[in-house]
Amino acid sequence: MHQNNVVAEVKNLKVYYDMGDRTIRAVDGIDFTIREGDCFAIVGESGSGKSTLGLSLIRLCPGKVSGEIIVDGVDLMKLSDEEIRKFRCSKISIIFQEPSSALNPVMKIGEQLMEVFTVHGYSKSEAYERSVKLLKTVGIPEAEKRMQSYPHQLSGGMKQRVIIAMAIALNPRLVIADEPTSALDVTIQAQILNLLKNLTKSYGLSTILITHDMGVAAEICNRIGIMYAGKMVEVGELESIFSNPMHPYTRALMTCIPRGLKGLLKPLPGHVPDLSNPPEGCRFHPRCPYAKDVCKKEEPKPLHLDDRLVLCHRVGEI
Amino acid sequence: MGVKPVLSALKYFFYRILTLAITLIGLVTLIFILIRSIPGDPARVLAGMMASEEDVNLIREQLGLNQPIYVQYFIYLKNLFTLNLGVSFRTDSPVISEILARLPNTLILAVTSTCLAVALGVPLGILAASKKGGKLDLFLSSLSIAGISLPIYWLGLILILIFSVELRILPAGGSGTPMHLILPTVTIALYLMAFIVKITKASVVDSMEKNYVITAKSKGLSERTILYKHVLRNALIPVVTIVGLQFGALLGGAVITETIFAWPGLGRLIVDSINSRDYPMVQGSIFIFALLYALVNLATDLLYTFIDPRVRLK
Repeated sequence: MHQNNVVAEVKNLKVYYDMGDRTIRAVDGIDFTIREGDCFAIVGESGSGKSTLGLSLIRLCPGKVSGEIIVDGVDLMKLSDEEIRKFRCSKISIIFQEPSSALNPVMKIGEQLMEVFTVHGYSKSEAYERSVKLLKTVGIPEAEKRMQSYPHQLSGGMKQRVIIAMAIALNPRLVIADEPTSALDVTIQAQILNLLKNLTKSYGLSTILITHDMGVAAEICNRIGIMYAGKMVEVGELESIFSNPMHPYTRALMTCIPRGLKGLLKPLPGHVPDLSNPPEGCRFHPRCPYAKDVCKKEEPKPLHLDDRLVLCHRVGEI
Repeated sequence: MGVKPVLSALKYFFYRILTLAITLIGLVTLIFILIRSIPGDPARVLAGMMASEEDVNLIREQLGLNQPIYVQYFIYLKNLFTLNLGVSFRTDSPVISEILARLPNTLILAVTSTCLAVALGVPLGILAASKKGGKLDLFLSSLSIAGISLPIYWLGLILILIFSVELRILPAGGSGTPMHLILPTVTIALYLMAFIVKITKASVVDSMEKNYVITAKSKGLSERTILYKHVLRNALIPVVTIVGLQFGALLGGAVITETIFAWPGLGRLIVDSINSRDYPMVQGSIFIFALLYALVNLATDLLYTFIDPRVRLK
């Protein structure tokens, strides 16, 4: 389809945390591709390694990272510290979960926003003009006045808008949004999601949305990757996954979306496994209602079906 | 700036002065009682061991110590409100003039040692934090623990032993020339510096782990810019408090250091006055000390509103 305009390609990405006596394999061999204009959701429970994945993509993860992260034709893993600094924000940027702690409490909003421009070579006056314009773009009223405000003078939603403004400031190729609405009120969540949706369209941004909420993913994404215990267990187009989830874990997550009063909310029993000692075979087998002997012994190989990728022994049988 | 912030600042100031006044009244009352509960009779001290009971009574009458204690207390309070600290039992000169004669010495010592400690302690603390876990950090941290743990009288005596007795390059005590200032300054500054290194390092390390540092990194800022632009502004806020408190304490006179180096400051004045049961002098100098300490505290709090935008006058 859009084979030519691939924005980012992640190949065999692994992130290990060395804890001395054991190694936590937070991300364990993940592949995916982001095409231009994609909004790719990475969905999983907490502890599935999705935030680690997000941080490692911009090379801010403290763990040991291996594999390839190709953004705009450049493998980020091969860049020096100096080179990656210039890449950050200009080609790849990130929006964090907690707007309150992500902004420096003793610096003015304007100062923090202008920094994005000045560090990438813009003059101060140009940085100021662009920052004011950006604040207007992300829907902050009285932008000039807000430039002089400190973070504590803004509401959570407004702060998240500022963070979003920083992330899109230099029109990057890829924006990673790590649970951008989890720390916000429900009504504000919808506003921020709408903003992200509109910006993605008008700027032609490609985004990765990290979330634990299938509903949020369905709201703004066109492709979706389901993550479980450091592995991407199912990847595909949003609609096809929603209409035909193949992996048992995807199915389980879908029953977790509240659908009015009639919908049956079925919590998924069990917990995400300890990533320093994941179960043998398929990592989901202890919680899987369809697990057979083979699932306990052999790790499933990635299975490509049209545009879909599934990591399950029992595809087609269940 | 509109009228509102100025008004709230005035209100805040008035509130602080009021609480200060209440604190001071409580304090002078406490001192009044405490100094009188120490065994020993000022009249007997003044008259000497060989004086007759009659002479001692006469002196007691002159000092006003024959009156009931509550009368003495109200006279003292009344004088205080007219800013009259009384007359020294020992020297017969006004308490305030004795204090004012000593105050500059204490001020000089407090200012030089605080400046020296801050000038060395803050950069070393930042250095230790930026090399956290390295050899330099280990060295600086051990040094700072040693500095805090060493008793100040021991350090002072060792310095005298080295620089005055062995090397003979600095005077062992007294005052008058800048040379006299060096050893007492260094003695106090070393302790204070060790303290500041520790606080600064802890605060910088703590700030470096904050989420806004990751945000700054994600913007493409260098480690250096992040340290100086983002981290330090946050990390130095608690350091200001500590330095302010320590400086305030030094204004009361570094009693031990002043005694070791025969430095004629407030600290020694208080000790000498207690020894001779010079009630007005003890009361007066502690009153002035408390006043200065409170004022430094107030200044630190006001400074806070400038360096931390989250703190607003209430």
